[in-house]
Amino acid sequence: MKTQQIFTAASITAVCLASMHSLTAQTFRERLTDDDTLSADDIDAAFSKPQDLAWYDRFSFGSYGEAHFNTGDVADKFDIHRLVLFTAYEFNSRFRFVSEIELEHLYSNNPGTDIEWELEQAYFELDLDNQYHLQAGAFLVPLGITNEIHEPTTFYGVERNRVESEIIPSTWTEYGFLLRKSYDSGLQWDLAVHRGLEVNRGDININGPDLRNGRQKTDSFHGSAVTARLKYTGITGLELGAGIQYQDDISEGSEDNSAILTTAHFIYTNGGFGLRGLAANWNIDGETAPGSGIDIDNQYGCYIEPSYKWNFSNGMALGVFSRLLYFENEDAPSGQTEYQAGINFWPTENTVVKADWSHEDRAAGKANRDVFNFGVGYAF
Amino acid sequence: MKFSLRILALTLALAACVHGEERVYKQPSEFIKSAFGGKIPSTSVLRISGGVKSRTKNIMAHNYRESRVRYWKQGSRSVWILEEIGKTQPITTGVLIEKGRIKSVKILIYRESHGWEVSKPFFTKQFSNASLKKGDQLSVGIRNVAGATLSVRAVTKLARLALYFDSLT
Repeated sequence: MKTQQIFTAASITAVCLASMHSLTAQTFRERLTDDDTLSADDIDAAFSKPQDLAWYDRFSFGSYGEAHFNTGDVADKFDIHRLVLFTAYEFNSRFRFVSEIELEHLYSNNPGTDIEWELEQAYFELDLDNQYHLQAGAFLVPLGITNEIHEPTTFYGVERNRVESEIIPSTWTEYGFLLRKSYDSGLQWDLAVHRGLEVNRGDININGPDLRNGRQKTDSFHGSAVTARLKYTGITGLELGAGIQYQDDISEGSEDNSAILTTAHFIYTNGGFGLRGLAANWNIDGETAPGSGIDIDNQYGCYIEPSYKWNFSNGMALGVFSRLLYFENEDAPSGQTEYQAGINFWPTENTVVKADWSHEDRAAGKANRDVFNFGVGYAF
Repeated sequence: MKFSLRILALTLALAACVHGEERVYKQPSEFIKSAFGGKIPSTSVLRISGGVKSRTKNIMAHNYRESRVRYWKQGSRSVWILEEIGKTQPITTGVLIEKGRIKSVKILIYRESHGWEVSKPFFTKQFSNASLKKGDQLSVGIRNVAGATLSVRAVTKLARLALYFDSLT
C-alpha cells in the first residue's frame, strides 16, 4: 500500500475513533444562579462547556487579508494579495477540525495564471491531554516565524521578508501528521511527518533548485519529509526556536537529491522595543546547476529586525522598524542584501496600515533597486 | 525510510484514540478555595448597567454580554472568574485581588488550539501586584508572546476588568 493511502486511512481511523468519545453534558451557558450557597460542583459546571452544543455553536470563523501597492524601481502594481477565511468546527472540547481557505492576487491582469485558490490548512486536531496535541491533515510546516504566524497585523513590512519566502518557502502547507508537546517551563517540541518538496529536475540541472516552486500544490505525492522543531518561551519577552527538516529526495529525477533544512530564530520584546532575527540554511545533495561553476548546494539567508512600538490609551498603536536581510538562492547565487525601513499604524488592534522602503542590493548582472510599498491589512 | 514513516503514521493514528482529559488546568471551585483557606465564601453579585456597562465595554473593546457578574469576597480579598475569547474559544481565567492589587492570575480552562503559552506560570506571573492606573490600564507592562497575541490580549483585558470590578465592591 502506498504511503499516501496509509496517511489517508490513518487519518480517517483517528477521526472516527476520536469522534466516538462522548463526555458528560455540561451547562456552559447556564450561568450561576443568584443562590448565595453555591456548591463547588455548581460553580465548576457553570464554567464547563457542554458536549450537546447546537451545531451552529460548534462553528467558529475568522478572516484575514491584505492589499498592497508597490512602486519605485518596479512596475507599479496594486494587488489584493490575499483574502483568507478561517473555519473551525468543534466535535468535542478536545477534538476539532480547522481549515483556512485562501484567495490570492484578485484583480490580476493574468487571472488565468495569477489568481490562486488554495487550501492553506485543513487538519483535525486532538488534545491527547493538556500537553500532547496531535494534528492530522494539511498543516503549516512548523519552521521559522512567518510560516505559522503571518496575519498582516502581526509583522512589520508590507511584503513578507524574503528569507521566509525564498529559503523557508512560506506559506508552506504539507499534509501528514504532527505531534506537539508543551511543558510548563515554556518548552515546546513538534515532530511532523509529511509530504516533502518536489523540485523540477530542469531547474536543478540548469539554474539550481527552485525550492519555492517545489511546493507540491497538487494531488501528487513525491517523497516524505520529517520535521522537528524546538521552541522555548519560558523567559518573559523572549522566544527561541530551532528546527530541522530532512527529505530523502527533493527532485523528480533519477538522481537522489536528499536535503536538510535547518532554521533558528529569536524574538525579544521589552516594552515597546522589539528585536527579532532568523537564519535558515538548505543543504542539498547531488549535482545542482552542473557546469555553472556556482555552488547552489547551499541556499541560505538571515535577517535581523529591530523595531519600536507605541501603544496609545485609545487602542491605537504606531510602530517603526528596520531590517537588514541577506540571502543566496538559485535566483541570487552570489547573494542579495536588502535594507528596509518602514512604519506600521494600527487604528485598532485588528487592522493595520503599512508603508516601507526597501533597497535591494541585487546579485551581479541585476540593477540595484529601491522599492516603496504601501499596504492595508486586517485579521479577526 | 518509507517503512518507518508508515509505522510512525499508524502509531500516531492509534495515539489519537487514547482517552484524554478536557484541558482544565484548575477547577474554578479549587481556585476559589485556594484563595480563601479551603472554603468557598457566599457568592456576591455585581450588576453591569449604566456607567459600569459603558466602562466595561471600553476595557473589553466590545459589548459585555453578562448583565450580572458573580464573585467571591472575604475581607479585602476577592476572586473573579471571567471569560474572554482569544481567537475562537473562551479562556476561563481566575483572578485573585487583594487591596486593589492582583495577587495571582490563573488560566483555569484553555480551549484555543494556539496560544497555550498564556496558561503557563512564566506568563501569568507578570500580573502579580498589578493595579489599575489612569485609563483603566494595568500598572505593569505585559509582554507579548509571539504566536499567542490574541490570547495575551484576552487575558490582559480580563485582568483589567477584574481590577475594575473589584474597585466597585
